[in-house]
Amino acid sequence: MGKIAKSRGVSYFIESLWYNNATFSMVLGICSALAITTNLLNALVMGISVTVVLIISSTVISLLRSIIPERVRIITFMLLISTFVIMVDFILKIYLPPVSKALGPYVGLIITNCILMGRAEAFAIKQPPYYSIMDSLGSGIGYTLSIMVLAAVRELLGAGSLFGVQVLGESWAGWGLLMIPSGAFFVLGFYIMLANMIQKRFINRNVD
Amino acid sequence: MKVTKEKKGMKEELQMSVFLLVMATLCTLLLAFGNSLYQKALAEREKELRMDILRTFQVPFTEETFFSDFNNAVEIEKDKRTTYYFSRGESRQVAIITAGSGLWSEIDIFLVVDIGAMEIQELRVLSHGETPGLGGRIEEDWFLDQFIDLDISDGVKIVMERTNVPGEVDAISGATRTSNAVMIMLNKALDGVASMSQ
Repeated sequence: MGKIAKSRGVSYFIESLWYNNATFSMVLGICSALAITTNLLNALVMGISVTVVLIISSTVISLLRSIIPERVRIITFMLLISTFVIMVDFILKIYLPPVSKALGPYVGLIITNCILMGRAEAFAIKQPPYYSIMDSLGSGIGYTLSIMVLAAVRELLGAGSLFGVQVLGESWAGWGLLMIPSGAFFVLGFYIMLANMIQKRFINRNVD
Repeated sequence: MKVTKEKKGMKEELQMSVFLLVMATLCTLLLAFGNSLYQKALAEREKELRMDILRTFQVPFTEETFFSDFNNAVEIEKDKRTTYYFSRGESRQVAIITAGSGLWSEIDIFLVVDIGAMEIQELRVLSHGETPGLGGRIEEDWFLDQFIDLDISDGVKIVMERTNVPGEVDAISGATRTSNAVMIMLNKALDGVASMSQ
């Protein structure tokens, strides 16, 4: 894997998607990951929202990086991120009202999702737009996939369905524990363990 | 030497302020645009709901004269978190939109009541944010269908086990508090109907 020549953009993408996976490796953005992963549809919409906001804010911050005064950069990040998040919130309210209601305050709370501020401060402010887009795409897709696998387990065992379609039969008694946030902690812990094992055992990685 | 340093600091601060001012203005404009779109969508949704109400009251209407048709056929009463749409026609019906607090979220319910027979003719959960798989099951048909043609002269009772008293429906197991919230909302709305229609 390491031998294959990769362009820099692609390697940034893979870095954020897998090695620095926001949820499983860095344990960032956990609040929303625990709260909204009760079913796959909510997780998918949340993941897409975060990815979209992440890409737009990273691109804008990266484009403006030479004119953002250093001392007010955090305020600028907050301003830009919150504007884009509220726009996404409006779009969800207009086109997907039931999902918007189910996500409740968590769409607004994307503003405080550490992944966004983290990528802005650690990456977008220093790198040109193309690399920033690849990096945020990786982080966003990584976040989306992580919450999707969490939601898949919780919805399948908790309600016996996937994307609202009953797959385990009507007689499946849902595991109520998995439907409440504390159940999400168990699933998340299990996945973090799994991700660590895979990273340690199967990938001999040259740390640069 | 000191003066130039101060001047430089002043200039930098001015630049920062101008930068933030411009950014904040741009963001505000963007948000104002988003909000206007949202308000338009809300008005559209309200109109669709009102069309639904006219359809259940079996009042003919046309797209162009919708506002006067609606005002001629329906009398609106408001009471805190509940809106009553009384039919002015022969059929003594009332459509109700009511909001109440569930376990986690606000639940919005739409129902149509036949005042003469004191029966619920239609019941829909417009929106909610209850636990999926538990309280979230209030939007499922098996739960809502229990209310149709139910004798509600003494209100609705959502119970664990039915005892053949009129007005009883089965609660959702594992979602006692959401079930109770729905019961309280419905009874408040029905009390309102009883007191207003006299």
